[in-house]
Amino acid sequence: MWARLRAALITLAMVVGLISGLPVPGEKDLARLPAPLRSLASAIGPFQRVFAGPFQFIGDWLFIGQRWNLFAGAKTDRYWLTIEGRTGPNANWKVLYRPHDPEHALFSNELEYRRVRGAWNPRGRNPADGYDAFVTFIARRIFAEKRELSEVRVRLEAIKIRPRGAGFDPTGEFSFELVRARRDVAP
Amino acid sequence: MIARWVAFWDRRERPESLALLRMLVALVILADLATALALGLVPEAWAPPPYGLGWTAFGSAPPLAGRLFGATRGTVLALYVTAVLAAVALALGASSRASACVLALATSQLARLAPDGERAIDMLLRIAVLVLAFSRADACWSVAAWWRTRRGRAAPVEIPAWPRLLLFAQVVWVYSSAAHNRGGDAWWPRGQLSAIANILCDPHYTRFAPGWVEPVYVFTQFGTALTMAFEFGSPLLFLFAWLDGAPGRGGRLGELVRRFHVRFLWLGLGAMLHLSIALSMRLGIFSFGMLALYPVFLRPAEVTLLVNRVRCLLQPR
Repeated sequence: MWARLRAALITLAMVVGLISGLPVPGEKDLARLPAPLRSLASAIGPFQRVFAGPFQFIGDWLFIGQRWNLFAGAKTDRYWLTIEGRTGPNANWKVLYRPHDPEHALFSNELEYRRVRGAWNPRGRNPADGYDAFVTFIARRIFAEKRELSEVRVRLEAIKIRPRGAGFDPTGEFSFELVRARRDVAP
Repeated sequence: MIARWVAFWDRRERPESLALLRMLVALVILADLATALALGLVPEAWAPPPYGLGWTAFGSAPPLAGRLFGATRGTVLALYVTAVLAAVALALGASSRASACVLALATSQLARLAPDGERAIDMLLRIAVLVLAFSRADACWSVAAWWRTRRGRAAPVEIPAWPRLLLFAQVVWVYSSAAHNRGGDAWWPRGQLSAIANILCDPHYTRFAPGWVEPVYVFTQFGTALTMAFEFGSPLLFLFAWLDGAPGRGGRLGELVRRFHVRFLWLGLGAMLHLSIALSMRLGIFSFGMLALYPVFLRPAEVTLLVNRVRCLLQPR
């Protein structure tokens, strides 16, 4: 009896996991598919909601899932984080940290720890949900370390990966810019 | 058919594979938590703003720990200490089932406080810990086994094999799903198989100065093709494991798989890909976490052989 029940529960877990882990193609991917496959692929989302939806609470509670996106895109349009500070409203911004810039490496160990990087590394074309909290967090650390600074600016420069692994070109275009003043966030 | 399916999940085996898995998974989690501490990021990596990165603490759906005990640095610290103690207990095999449950719950609460810091490997290790909670992974190489022997009780010779087999399927699905979700052209010949070179030029991920890959670009293309082949082909591991299970299985194909140790070649390729990632990219525990799960692909006798060989190598001559 127990062996049958166990086999049934394992089967249920595997089926629900497989259904919830099916890849849901985006609009661009759907457009590429031949018509019969396109209608099949567009049914995956509703199918998942019906069959895996009732078990979604388990994934939510335990923060687990079964769709594994590991470097899905590897695109050539990327970003480069820049953290700057200045001593007053009219002073020039000075770069404090940039990845792979040995001259500007303040708090590099902390910033490059994977859990912290997850808060500043953009998801596609959008900042991480916790980007705002990250900017406050790092500004507080910088203000505690660099007493002369009154403002900290965090932004991401768009970069273009060169073909054939030849490095990247900064574009000079910045986005997701946030500024924190010492009076607002300092410990 | 159903009877064979039930019998398959009812199989028993020696405990070495699951015991090694238990220790490695717990040690990788412990190493990650220790890194956060060493960098002075405890409790900041999960603490609520303005102190840290735990931005969900004041959101519309804060995690249970935040609702019960308040979204404070103290709550984060308590969760962190709980996770560390549970990981130590799991690695040592002391109250393994309870410690696995506590570890999964504590890390999931930390994850929900600062979800941006969570990667696929954290979820995968948490799933492994949850499955271990239902296993007898402490039947050997554990405090529990030592204590049992000390009290004159016999250690179980065999334990249920289903946790290892289920995690075997889980890891295969991770590879397979990763391949299915690869939407970008860079992973395919139409994008010149440039994916790995692109990643190694991304200043946020590459370990060495971006641009270092240019002289070895062709090898990165080969690496991209190999990665896709390995991931898409990962379900073959089921076949290789079955063919390897008994002499005479699978006719000529089975004979070839056994003679050329194809299963071990496949696993060696996976290990090599993960070590290359660890060497060239800054992804934290990803590669080590994946390799910590590899004991699920090994039968207990193979794990024993491996451990004995390592012991021989480590013994002073």
